[in-house]
Amino acid sequence: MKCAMILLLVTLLFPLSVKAESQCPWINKATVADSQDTSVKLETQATGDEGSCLFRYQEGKDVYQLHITVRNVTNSASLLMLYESQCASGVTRLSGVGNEAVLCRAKPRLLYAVQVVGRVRNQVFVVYVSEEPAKDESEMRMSLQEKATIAAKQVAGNLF
Amino acid sequence: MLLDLAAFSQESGKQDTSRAYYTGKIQETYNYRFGKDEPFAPSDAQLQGGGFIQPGAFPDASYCAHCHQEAYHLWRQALHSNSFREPFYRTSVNLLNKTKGIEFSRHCDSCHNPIGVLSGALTENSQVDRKFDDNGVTCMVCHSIQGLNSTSGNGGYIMGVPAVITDAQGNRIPGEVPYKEIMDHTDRHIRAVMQDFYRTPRFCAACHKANLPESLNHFKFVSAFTTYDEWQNSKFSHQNPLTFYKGDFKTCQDCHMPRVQITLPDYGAKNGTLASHSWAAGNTGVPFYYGFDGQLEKTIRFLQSGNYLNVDIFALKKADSEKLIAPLGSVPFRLAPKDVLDAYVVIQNKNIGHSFIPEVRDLYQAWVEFQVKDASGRLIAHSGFLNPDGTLDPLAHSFTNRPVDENGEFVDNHQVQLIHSVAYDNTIQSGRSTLIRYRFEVPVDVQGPITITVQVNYRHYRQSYINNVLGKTHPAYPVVEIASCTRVLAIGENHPVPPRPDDNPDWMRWNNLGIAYLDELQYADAVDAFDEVVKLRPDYADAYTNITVVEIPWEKYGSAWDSVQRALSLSPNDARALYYAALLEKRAGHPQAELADLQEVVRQYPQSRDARRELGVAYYRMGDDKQAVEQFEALQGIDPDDLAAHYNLAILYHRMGMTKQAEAQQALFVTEKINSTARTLSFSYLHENPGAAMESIPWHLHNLLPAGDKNNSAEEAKAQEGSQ
Repeated sequence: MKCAMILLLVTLLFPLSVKAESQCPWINKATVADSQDTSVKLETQATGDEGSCLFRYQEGKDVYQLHITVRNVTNSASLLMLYESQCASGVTRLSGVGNEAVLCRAKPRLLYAVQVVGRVRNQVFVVYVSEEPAKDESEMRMSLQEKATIAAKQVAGNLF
Repeated sequence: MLLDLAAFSQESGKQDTSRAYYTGKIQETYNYRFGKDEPFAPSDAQLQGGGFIQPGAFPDASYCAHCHQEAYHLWRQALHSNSFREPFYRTSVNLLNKTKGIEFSRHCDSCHNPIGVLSGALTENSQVDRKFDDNGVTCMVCHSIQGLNSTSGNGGYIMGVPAVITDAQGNRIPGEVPYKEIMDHTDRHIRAVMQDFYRTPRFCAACHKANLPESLNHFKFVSAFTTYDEWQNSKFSHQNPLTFYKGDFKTCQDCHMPRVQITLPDYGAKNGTLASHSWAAGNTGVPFYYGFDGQLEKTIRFLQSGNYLNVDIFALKKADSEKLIAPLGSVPFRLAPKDVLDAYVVIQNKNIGHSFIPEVRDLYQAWVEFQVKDASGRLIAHSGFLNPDGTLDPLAHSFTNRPVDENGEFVDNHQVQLIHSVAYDNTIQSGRSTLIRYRFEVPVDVQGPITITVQVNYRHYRQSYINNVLGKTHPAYPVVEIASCTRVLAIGENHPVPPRPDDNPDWMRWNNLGIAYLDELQYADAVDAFDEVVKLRPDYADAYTNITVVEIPWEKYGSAWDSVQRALSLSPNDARALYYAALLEKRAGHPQAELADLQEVVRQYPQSRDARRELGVAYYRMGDDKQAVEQFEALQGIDPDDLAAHYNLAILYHRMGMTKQAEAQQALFVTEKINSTARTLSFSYLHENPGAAMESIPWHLHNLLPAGDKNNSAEEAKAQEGSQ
């Protein structure tokens, strides 16, 4: 009887657990997107206090990827330096984001990308935003910088 | 033009529909932990029209900035705009979210992030766009509030649907409109965004007063901070007859929103000035974090202006004598090497319309730094220093408190939901003074003269909290000297010197000493001090009343009566004297005289909570239930959390057959009354923290003698004994 009850409970709860919406601990999909109508997919989801979240979404013809990584380390300075070494150019210090943060163009990969590298206490975070197809660089830069900064503020705020 | 506005009116109809749709979507997943009818609990916030509101219904601050550049520019650096995002808040609220659940943060965020609360974003797995987090208390938060619940705080506002213009009939038209519409109808714009009550302290009370309700702490009502009440009880409100001093009427806005010259175009300016949207006060931490130099500089200037505190090195007492050398500067005396001296430092909260320090004083740090140096620069005594790691001398006299949890542990990180008791609270209420005593020895090889310097320092926040938020490696946060006093004393003869421009007159120095003695329960000394005031100002009625104020708790009723009669002979209708006369008449069994005096006090000061309370009790004792109810209800109008009002109304309503109301008052009394057993939780904290234990004793001495000599101090031994 007891086993049957447990089985029934498991059966009842199971559909709920598979329906539960995936979440990133540091930012939600609505904040990632520029518009309420944008459909955002969370493809990798962090669990606990560190890990990565990968969001993909499309606005018009533009496809964006937002990748957030958080690592809890004892020597945050060296990891921060390592991440900052991935900056290609245009390193700008961001005030009021975590303990410290920089915004820069990420080193050329396949896509044009901007990243914010920062720290809250001993938690190092990277917010990486890319867009395709490539278009006018200055236009892309402005748009991606804004997206990366908004996301970085959310991430840092939640890491405090 | 009218057609355009009609179109916007139609638009508002669409917004209603979309709001209903939005509310429906939020309701699907919203956590109604505190009941369907209290979606924003544990806060007291309300939203007109019910349901939830889309974040986008609040026009962005950048929209307002188009015409109000100065206000926008000031607001951007001010605490209101950073109220949610700044790390010192986030650290605390994130802990609440993680340990209890995000729905509990509605209590804090009703004031720190009102859009987050009202939009229903504060629930698990919310899919509300949180970009508004960056703007905290944005323009259209304050400028959309349509009413106030009470003066209980906890976000006790009634939020309307944001509108920047009304139609010709005064109906609010939600959302943004083209600037031209506003410029063509500035009167309608003003009607939409301004309310008379915005200029009153009651408006500030919505967020500058807070309690911790049972729904938050699962314990009981705990008063958190009462800045509005402190103002209401201060000389600046003109609502309280019992203040020690009188002053001009001033509101919160008078000090924190003074008119300032504009430097950027702003249509809200009048004659080139605008009510400051910087709200300069005490927070140097947040502007320092963001690098907002303008706001930081204004805050420091604010803290150092206004003659807010008076620091007085009032007296010296030689350890081998009972005689007080006082007031320093006005009397001759002699100092010699090897003299063991007690310096009497009186700090007066002179012109702050609330306590020093107000609000979350477990996070802020204000303390007294006391230094004695000789002519060679040698440090003879030092209290209130900062250690190399930035932490404060644990034995410093600090104007702080120490909340403790159910295990008697210090509640760190402002986890208010854990507070069960407060181990001590050394704030100075508005208009009152505190006496701090320091013992030191003049060295045998001293090179005279010696210089005593006392300063009140302020740091926003305490170092250990900054470390918790940012880790141990961070820049040193600013320490601001708010007020100071220096006296140079010769080794040998000291002659009277002329007072300095900032010195209080001698009668006031004695008066402040008397007030400090009273608050430290030294009744005989307090009466002696007020006697000195009488000698210097025999015409000053309050000096006699002050003696009465001391002698009532000292139970010297005959003498108290004589003094209050002297006060009334000098100032026949003085409300303060009449109030204390009434207390004595009550004790002497003269109810008619008591009643007449209290009625007169209430006539002069209808907002006096003390007079209303006593008058209610007087009517109650005389069996006039109807009049008693009237007084207690009026008292609740002033302070919704007055315990005497709850208690007496519960009985009176019951007698009148108003069972429901009686039960409601009884329930409020039960949850709001002080939990006497919670106090015992403080003891284990004090046992573990000798510095705090000493500070918790009203009459204590800071012994700065070298360690070997300290055992000779009978007084400190007594203090330590008291801390066991």
